[in-house]
This record gives sequence, structure tokens and C-alpha cells, in this order.
Amino acid sequence: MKVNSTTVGLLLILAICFSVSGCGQSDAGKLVAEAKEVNSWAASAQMISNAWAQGKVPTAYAHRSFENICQQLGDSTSRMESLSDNHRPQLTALVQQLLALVSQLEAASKAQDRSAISHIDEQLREARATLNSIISDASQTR
Amino acid sequence: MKKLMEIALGIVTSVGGFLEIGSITTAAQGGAEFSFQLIWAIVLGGICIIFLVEQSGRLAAVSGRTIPDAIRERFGANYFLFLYLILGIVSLLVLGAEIGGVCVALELATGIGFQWWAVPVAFVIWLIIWKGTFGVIEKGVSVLGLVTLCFVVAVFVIHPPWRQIVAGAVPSLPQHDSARYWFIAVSILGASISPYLFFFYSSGAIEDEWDESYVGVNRVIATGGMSFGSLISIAVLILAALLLLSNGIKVEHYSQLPLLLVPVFGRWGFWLLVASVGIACLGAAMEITLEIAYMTAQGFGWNWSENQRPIAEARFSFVYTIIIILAAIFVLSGIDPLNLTIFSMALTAATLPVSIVPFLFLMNDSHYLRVYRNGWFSNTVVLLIIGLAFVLALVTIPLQIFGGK
Repeated sequence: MKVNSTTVGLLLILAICFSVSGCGQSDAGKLVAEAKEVNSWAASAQMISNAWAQGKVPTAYAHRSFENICQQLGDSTSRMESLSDNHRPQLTALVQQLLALVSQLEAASKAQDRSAISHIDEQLREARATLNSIISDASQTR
Repeated sequence: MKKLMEIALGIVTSVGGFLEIGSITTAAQGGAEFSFQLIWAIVLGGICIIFLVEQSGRLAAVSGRTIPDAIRERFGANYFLFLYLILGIVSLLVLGAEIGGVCVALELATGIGFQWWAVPVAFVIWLIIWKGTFGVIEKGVSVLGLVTLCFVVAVFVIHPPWRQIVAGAVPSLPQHDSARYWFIAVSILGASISPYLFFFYSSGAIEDEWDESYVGVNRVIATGGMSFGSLISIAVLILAALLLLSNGIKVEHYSQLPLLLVPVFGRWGFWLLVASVGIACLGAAMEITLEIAYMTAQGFGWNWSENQRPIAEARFSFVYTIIIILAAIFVLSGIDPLNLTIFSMALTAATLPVSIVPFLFLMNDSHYLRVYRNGWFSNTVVLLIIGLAFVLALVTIPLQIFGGK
């Protein structure tokens, strides 16, 4: 059978599209992706708070960033609640804890209270460590 | 001596004008999610843009015509209108993203929401174009844009693993999130092979009154300027890989961008980032505004020149005024500038064939280029770029759905 080179090219492109798009993610997969995003926001909060505590970034920037991170964590919580997976309750509770910590950072930046940062930073570090262990656990079981 | 000065200035302005919100964010996303693995996309995009910019400059220098001019003449009014519509919409979105970028820089600096800056920024862009000459825009803003070299300096300060960086220049398959990997690769290519760059460049050659004697100068400027410009994008990717990926940070919001320079330069890093984003986007916004106005005036046969007083070309001035207002509306509407940027870069990639295919015909037309027509090597490269453009056009939309956010 003779196959036209254009047809082969088009089929190849279609194959690439389908292979990269996959067949949609399971709830477990979505939960892991969401948890990684939460980790990214928590890490950003940590880096920004440390920089602010050392006077490396302006207060206005730090405050707006914490405000935004709170909003993003809130959105993540809502998205997680629609997923069904064994790890969901544990993760949702952890995100709530992170949200409370970033809210404290927001309040500290508003009050220009740099001394509060080290205590919150320690708790953020612990919460992130727990989050990372849940992520690796959930990644293995999915 | 005069030519040497022009070459140096040309390279400086190309480097200073290379970086914009699209290349910053796509490179930062690539580095933060896939380490050095996507460096090849910036290198590939850089090679493509070197050839396209060189050819658009050669066409202008030899024929005295800009690309839109030649396209309308060679392909007729219908194709020109089709190209104008597609490129006009894409450029308008990119302009919205660039104005958004300036507003974001101002938000980072002041803490006042980016939407509030849309009108003042749009007014400043309009005022500079209205009052300024082509030289002011091309050289003044681009020279200020050299502040973006701070990304390159930062890379040397943190002593990166050079072997791994060199390995990243070779394309490789992703270990995770394939759709996301290819989507970012396409966005990087869309940000690098921006039609506005070579359309603007050809108009600039006419504004600067280039003739046949500038063919060599053009080659050196295009190669040097675009190569060094690509290096800045690579520097952004390296910083993101080393400073953000190691902390598990993905670039999902512009407030994360200062984290690229603050760990290296401290407080100065924050202000360098703000200046880099602000100036780079301001320069790009003015270039895109002029590119749309040039394309409109050239396509419809109106008077055009940024060096004339606005009263001498009322229609040209009217077009850029309207364009700036329309783009500012995107920012005013509160669309997230980062999402607008990523979307417009992907759309740029999807529409590339429309603006690149005519090159093959124009650059082989002896009526325009006489003895300066493309040789076999340039034609092969253009054919490969066209092939790449078609693949990008086909895969961008599925990747936007499955790999975008």
C-alpha cells in the first residue's frame, strides 16, 4: 500500500498530541498535583518572609504576596474538597494549617513586625516537611 | 569607523530590546519545572529568529521595502488582509501582556494593584511615541534595557553546573508531566520567534535609511544581537532552575519573579528585577505598538514614519493611539498578566506559519533582492523554520488544553 508522506506527517503529529495529552488524570493524580502546587506556594511564602525579615524586599511587596498566597491556598482547598482519595482529609487539614500560617505572615507584614517571622518560619518548615512526605506517599500509592 | 559604531549600537539595542515579559516568564517556568532541560528550546528559537531578522533586514536594505509592503505587493491585498487580521489580533494580545508587565513591575515596587497602573502606563507609552523619534525608542529604551544583563551576572555569581547546562542545549524527553513540558517548550518558541520582532526590524531599517551597503552590518547585528539576547533568556532559565526548582517553587504568579534575583543580590536584586521587567516590557510595548501602526500604514499605503511629526501622518498616529487604548483595556479588565502572557505566547506559536511562509517567496524574488537572494543554506533553514512553524501551529491548541494551566 502506498502511503503519502503528508498523511504520515499528519498522523505523527496527531500521535504526539495524543501521547502528550494522556487520557486525563485520576483523583489521586489530581490530588498530588494540587499538593505540589500548595508546596510551591508555601515555599514562596517562606522565601519571601525570610527576605522580608532581612530587609531585602519592601514591606508592600511582601504584604501583597502573602495576600495572594492566602487566596491561592484557599482556592486549592476548595479544589481538593471535590476530590476523593485516602490522602485528601490529611492534605486538606495541612493546607488549612499552611493557610493559617501565611495569614499570620500577612498580619506580621501589615504590623511591620519582623520579629514574628522566625517562629512562623519554623512552623512553615515543619508543615512543608509533612506535606512533602504525604506527596511522596501519595505518589507511590497512586 | 562609522559602520563599526553602528554595529556596536545595533547589537546593544538588539540585546537590550530582546527580553520582554514572554521570554522572562516562559524561561522562568521552564527552569522552575524542568531544570535545564528546556534550554534547547531557547537555543532553537534563537537560531530561528537570527535567520528571520537577518532576512527581514536584508529585504529592507536592498529593496527599500518593509515586509508588509512586499507581502501586499507580491501576494495581493487579500493575503495581506488575512495576515493583518491574524497578526493584528496576536500582536494586540502580546501588547496587552507587555503593558501588563510594566504594570506588574510598578505593583511590585509600590504594592498598588497592577490594574491601577494601566491608564498611566498606556499614557506614558503613547506620549513617548507621540513626542519621540525612532532613535529615542530604538536606542534610548533599548540601551536602558541592558539592565536585563543582571540575569547573566547573577548566573556567574552563583557558579552553576556548566556541564549540565550545556547538556540542556540538546533536546531530550521529559521524565514527568510530558504535556506541560511540551507546552512550555512551545511557549518558549512562541516568545522567541515573535513576528513583531522581525516586522519591526524591517521598518526600523527603513527608518534608519539602510541601503545595500548595510547588508553586512545587518548580518552582524542580527546574529550578535539575537544571540546575546537569547543568552539572557537562558540566564533566566538557569536562575529559575537553581533557585526555584530546588525549593519546589513553580512560577505561577508574577509575585514570585523577584525570587530569581533577591537570593543573589539581596535588596538590589529586588530593584534590579523590577527595573528589568519594567524597562524590558516598556520597550517591547512601544515596539509592538509601532509594529501594528507600521503594518497598518504600510499595508494601506498611508504615510508612515516615527521620525515625522504626528500631524504629518494623522492616520498612522491615530492607529497607534487606538491600539494602546485597546491593549490597556485588557489590563484594566483585571485579566492576570501572567495568564495573558502565556496564552499570547502560545497563540503566537500557533499563528507562525502565516507570517513566516511568505519569507520563502520574498527572499528568492530577484525583483526585490537581486544578487542578495537567499542561497541554498538560507532556503533550507527557512524551510525547516516553516516546518517547525506548522508543527507548532498544529500542536499548540491541544497542548494549551492539556499542558496549560
